Parts: sequence; C-alpha cells; structure tokens
Amino acid sequence: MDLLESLKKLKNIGPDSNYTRNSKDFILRTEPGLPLLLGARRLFFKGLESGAALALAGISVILILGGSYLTKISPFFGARSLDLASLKAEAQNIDIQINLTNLNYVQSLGKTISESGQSSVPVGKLPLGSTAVDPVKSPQNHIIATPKTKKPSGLSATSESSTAVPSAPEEETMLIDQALQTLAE
Amino acid sequence: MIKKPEIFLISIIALLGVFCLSSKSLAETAYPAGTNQIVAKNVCDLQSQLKELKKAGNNQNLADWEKYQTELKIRKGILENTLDCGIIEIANLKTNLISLSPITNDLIVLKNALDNSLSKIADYYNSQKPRVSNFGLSETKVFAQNLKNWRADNYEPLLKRITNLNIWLKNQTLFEAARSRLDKINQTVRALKLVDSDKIQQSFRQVKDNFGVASDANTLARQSLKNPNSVNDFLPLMQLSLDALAQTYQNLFELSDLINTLLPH
Repeated sequence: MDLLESLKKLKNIGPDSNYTRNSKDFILRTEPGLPLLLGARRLFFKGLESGAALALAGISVILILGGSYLTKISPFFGARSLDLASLKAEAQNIDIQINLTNLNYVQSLGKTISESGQSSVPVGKLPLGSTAVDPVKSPQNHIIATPKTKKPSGLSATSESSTAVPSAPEEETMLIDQALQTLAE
Repeated sequence: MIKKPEIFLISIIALLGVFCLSSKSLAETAYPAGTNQIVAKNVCDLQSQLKELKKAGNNQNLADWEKYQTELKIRKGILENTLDCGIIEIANLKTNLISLSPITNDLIVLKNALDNSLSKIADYYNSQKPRVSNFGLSETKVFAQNLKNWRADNYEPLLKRITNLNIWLKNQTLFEAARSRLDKINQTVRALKLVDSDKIQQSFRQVKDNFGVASDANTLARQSLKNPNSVNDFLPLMQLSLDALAQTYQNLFELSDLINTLLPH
C-alpha cells in the first residue's frame, strides 16, 4: 500500500517553474538547425547582397570623383562647358580687370601729360574712360586685328573698388615729388 | 561582415566630402584669389613739414637771419625725411614684388632684375642722406630739383615696370580659364554633332577670332614687359587684350544660347 501511494505521488512530480521558464527561453532563442544545403545557399545570397552594396557604393564614389574626366570624354557630361553660372563668373572677373587696367592707364596718362606740361589737368584726376586725349603710344604699329568693339551686354560692369595698381605707392610717390617740387622753388 | 547601414553611411560621407570640395573650387572660380591692390605698409607724412615751411616763409615777426636759419632747418628736415620716405617706398615695392609668382624663367629673371634695381635706388638714397646736413639754402633747392629729376629718370620707369608685371601676371588666370573653356566647348560641339550647323560654325569662329586677338595682344604685352623702352606700350596692349577677351565671353554666351535652341528637347 505504501508503495502504491508513493507511485501515485509520482504523478505530481514536475520541474521547477524557474527552470521551466529558463529552458523555454533558451529553446525559443536558439534557431532551428537548418539542413546543410539550405544554410549554404542563404550564406551565399547574404554574401552576394553585401558585395553588391559595396560595389554600388564604390561605383558612386568613382562616378563622382571621376566626373571631371567624364566631362571630357562623354557628351552627356559635356554640358558643363556651357554652364552659364561659371561663364558669368569668369566674364565678371574680366570686367573687373578691365576697369582696373583702364584706371591704371588713365592715371599713367595723366601723369605723363602733366610732366610734359601739355595740360593743366592734375595728375590722377582724369575721369575713368576719358577719351579726351590720344594714347601716349598707339599699339597700331603692331599687326593684330581689332576685335568687334561692341561692349558685351551680358556682362555687368562692376568695379570691385577704385583701388588701382598700385594705389598707395602712387600716393607716396606724388607726395615725395610734391615735396621736392616745393623745395626746388 | 560589413553591414549595409555602415556602407550607406560611408557613401553619404564620401558624397558630402566631394560636395565640399566642389563648392571650394567654384568659389575660387568666381572669386579668384588675390587683387591688384598693392598696399603700403609704412606711410610717409611730409604734409605737416611742408605746412611748417610755408608758415616760416610767411612769418614777418622774425629777423632776416632768424628766418633764414629757420627755413634752412626745415628744408633740411624735409630733405632728410624725403629720402627716408623714398627708402620706405622702395621697401614697400620690394615686398609687393616678392609676392608676385612668375612661372617662366624669363619673367623670374625679370623679377630678380627689378628687385636688384630697387636695391640700387635705396642705396642711392642712403648715400645722399649724409650730404644734406652741410647744405646752404640754395644748395637745398638745387639738390631737391636734381633728386626730382633723378627719380623721374630712374624710379618712375621702374615703378611702371613692376606695376605692369603685376597686372600681366594677375590677368593670366583669366586667359587660362578662357582657354580651358574654349577647349571644352569645342569638344561639346563635336560630341553633340553640331559641327555641321552653319550658325554654330560661324558663332564658334567669332569666339576663336576674338580669343586670337586677345591672345596676340597678351603676348605682345608680355614682350613689352621685358623691354625697358616699351614701358608705355604695355597698358594699351593689356587694355586691348582684355577688351577682346570680354568680347570672347559675349560670343560664348551667344553660342550657348544657340546650342540650347538647336538641341532637341
């Protein structure tokens, strides 16, 4: 009888609840073991995916960095040569240089005339672009064709500043010469 | 194994880097480095001494001898100061000359020769200074006139040559940009198979002709730099060359419009 009762008690035997919970979690975390062939295939496609992503990134970088070379060889990229924004920027630089060179020319002309006593116009005071006098030496003895003289309408005649080349040394020169002139009188 | 998000991040960083580099180069195209301005580091003040001289001359309260002594003292002071100002002037010019960067050998040689000439002028001023203290009134007048003439014959042509060299060098970036632009447009026109269009041909010929004029004048301006007797030839040639270059760009704008109208949409 004792034996029968002991055997009946065995029915109630169960695992510890914590143990049950931990084992269940462990089992759920573990991936099921795939057949060998399916695992290899998946690995292959994963590798292919990563490789393709790498290759795409590499091609993008090469395309961007090599863009300047491609503009030379491909007409599709050649449209950059007609880029209006950079054309305008280059044209404006030329305008600035023209104004500065003209200013230098007028200043040196004024000084030459003043020294020769042909005019009472003070040195450096001629208005910009004055055509009142002929150039000291005309370049016409050189064999070059003259361009069409129409002033480009697309260019803005901006002058960065009135600083000629050179402005401060010219002022110093005039002051020294003025002092010497005063002392010589 | 490299994960996809990391690859994506690397690509974005690479794109940003290229974008920053492109912006920098565009900015340099629009605003080329350097200007034509030459800035003096030391400035001379002769005006106050000249006013003092005038005041001494008009002072009726002094006896003749006192007036003579006062005027002589001021005149000597001005002469010494003028020579000092001349030396400062040379130092400033030397600083600016050193900042120029010619590439070709002949212009490097020219730059060095101009620098040597500046040194000789400074040496001359230094050699004249000790003489001033022994001058009488009439000697100050003669010395002033001689010095003025000497400067007109020696310093001023040198100043012009340095100015011309500066202008020419600064303008070469414009020519290089234009030359590069023309090459690219030539390739574009050929690649887009527009060479058969008469209008394009004519327009492109105008571009090339005007650029040819600009280049020829630029070359002649360069040659005048090396010849001390052609100092006054330079500026008109440079003006001509820049005007032709401006006209070239006007033609480029017109060509650009023409290509856009002829291309299929």
